[in-house]
Amino acid sequence: MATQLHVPKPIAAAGMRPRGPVQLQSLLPRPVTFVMAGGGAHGCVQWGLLQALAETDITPDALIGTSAGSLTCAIVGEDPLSALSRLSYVWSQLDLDVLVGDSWMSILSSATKRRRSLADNTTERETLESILVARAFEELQLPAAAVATDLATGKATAFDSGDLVTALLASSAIPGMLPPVTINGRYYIDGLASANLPARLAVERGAGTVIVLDTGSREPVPVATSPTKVVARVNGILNARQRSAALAFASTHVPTIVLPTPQNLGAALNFRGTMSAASASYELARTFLADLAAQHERPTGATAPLLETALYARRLPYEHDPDLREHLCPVESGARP
Amino acid sequence: MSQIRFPRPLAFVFSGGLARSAAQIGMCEVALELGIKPEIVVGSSTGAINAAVFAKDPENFGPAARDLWGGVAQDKALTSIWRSTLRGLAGGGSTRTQTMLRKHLHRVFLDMHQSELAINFVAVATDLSSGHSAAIENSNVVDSLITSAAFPIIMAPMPDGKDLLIDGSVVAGVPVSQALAAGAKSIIVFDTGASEVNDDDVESLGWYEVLALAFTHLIRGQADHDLALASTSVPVVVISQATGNPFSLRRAVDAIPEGRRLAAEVLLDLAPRHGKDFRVISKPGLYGNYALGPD
Repeated sequence: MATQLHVPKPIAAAGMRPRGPVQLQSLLPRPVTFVMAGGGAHGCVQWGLLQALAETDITPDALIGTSAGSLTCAIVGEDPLSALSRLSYVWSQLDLDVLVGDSWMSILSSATKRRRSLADNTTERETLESILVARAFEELQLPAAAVATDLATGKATAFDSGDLVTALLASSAIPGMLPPVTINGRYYIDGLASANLPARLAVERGAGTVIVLDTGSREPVPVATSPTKVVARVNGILNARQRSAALAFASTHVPTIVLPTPQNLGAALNFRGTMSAASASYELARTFLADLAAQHERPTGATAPLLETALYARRLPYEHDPDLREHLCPVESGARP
Repeated sequence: MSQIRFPRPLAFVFSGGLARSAAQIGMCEVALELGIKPEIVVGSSTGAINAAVFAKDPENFGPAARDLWGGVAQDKALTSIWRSTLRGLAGGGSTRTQTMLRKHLHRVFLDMHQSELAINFVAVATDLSSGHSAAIENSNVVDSLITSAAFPIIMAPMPDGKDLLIDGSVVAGVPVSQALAAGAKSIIVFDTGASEVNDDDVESLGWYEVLALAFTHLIRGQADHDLALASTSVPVVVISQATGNPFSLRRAVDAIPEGRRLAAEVLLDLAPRHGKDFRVISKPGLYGNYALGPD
């Protein structure tokens, strides 16, 4: 029996839009900033979202990312033209062993010892240095920033100059697992503790439009009393609240476009299934972008006004912030002018 | 009548902060000595415990709270947070931590109901299903405190109908919006939930301490938002203490003098000026020593 291939169909064939790129760039106040959230192996979702963005005329003026998102930023910033191809190779090879090196047994055997992290980041550094040619932010073609958390103060810090790989290591130093990274005499850990979706920082750094490339999520963890279930649930709640507050801030200041992402992914450190997650993201995002363009389409010759300050999304991405609901400008499926 | 006056009802809000919460004893004493008394008290986690002791008998708050914290300090089953954590991880052991804490609380509150307290008292918990805060206003005092302080892993979640409730400080470490919901027209916050530590202290952290610190930063990140929001509608005075080791329950009461000093500094700054007899703090806004992040 022949295997059924799942290949996304050309969107023009579905009557979603005329041939040629989706026209959106003229609606966006500049500078346009791509905001890449963290999410471990879920970072592959951003590859799918970037594929969908490549079918539009949108080009970023600046990039900011946290954790896995900071790596996406560096790859796009290094060479926007080859980024999609390079990301496909990165995500087809990334796995836990190229990040933490050691086998899990040796990591667990060190759990009882008093050391700063279970694994070291030598392997991760080697991996990043093999992926990237640039060694400093200044060598990137687009202005990019990597967000980490100051371990002592808990404040989000954006690195945008100097040593690129060290900043990426800091941004993705998963607390407990990977060691805090020293930059200018201070310790930094993963940006997830302060700004896993750095939309607020993007606005503070002057973004005119924020385009959010989030990383999707797992199926909600069932409510149960076991310590691991409680911690997983609490982690989900805190993450959603942090993202929700960041989006509420951004969407009161600039047009904030949140691309749709899959909500049924596997564990955040499971690197299998990255290909199907990316493909699902691509399909969700391209119809969303076509719908967003259609919603703002004007008769030929007429100039469409710039997008207003609001949150453009399929639906409310997170429920926790009451402000967020007020800012939502829903992008309807299959919208026509 | 106090020289510093507030729109009524005034709420005292007690943040979480584990061992650091003991500083609230000193802060609260200074407010009382200046004649400032609340109609509502709201607390999260260890702060809820202080709030309830206050609500039971405001006149005797200082001695009663010192007695309770002193008792906990001598209880080896509770003072090792790491041992409690391991017990919790091993499963079932978390009930033991709860039982020990219940014993200390029962000594103070017996079987009192919240409605029997001298002042309107709200304990704040986190609803594990919705991810929102839950206000406990009509329950047995000890039960409400055990729920509000049910920190993940260390203590088991508390069932409430078909929902599960855990520590209020997870989503409402500084429960000012819950004070507004209870009708407060002005708020004084005794804030001991800061997650900053000294630069020197991060040098020597073990992996599990880095993890715990990251988790407290993640929780604390919500305080800015909550305080900024509440201070747009009512005056909010924050007395914030960032020193002291939150994990050292044995020496918790050592934080009281610093709490007194900070409270005196913040509240005396609100004292009447130019020979006036009193000053009314009526304008909505943030007062005190808490520094909001950039807007």
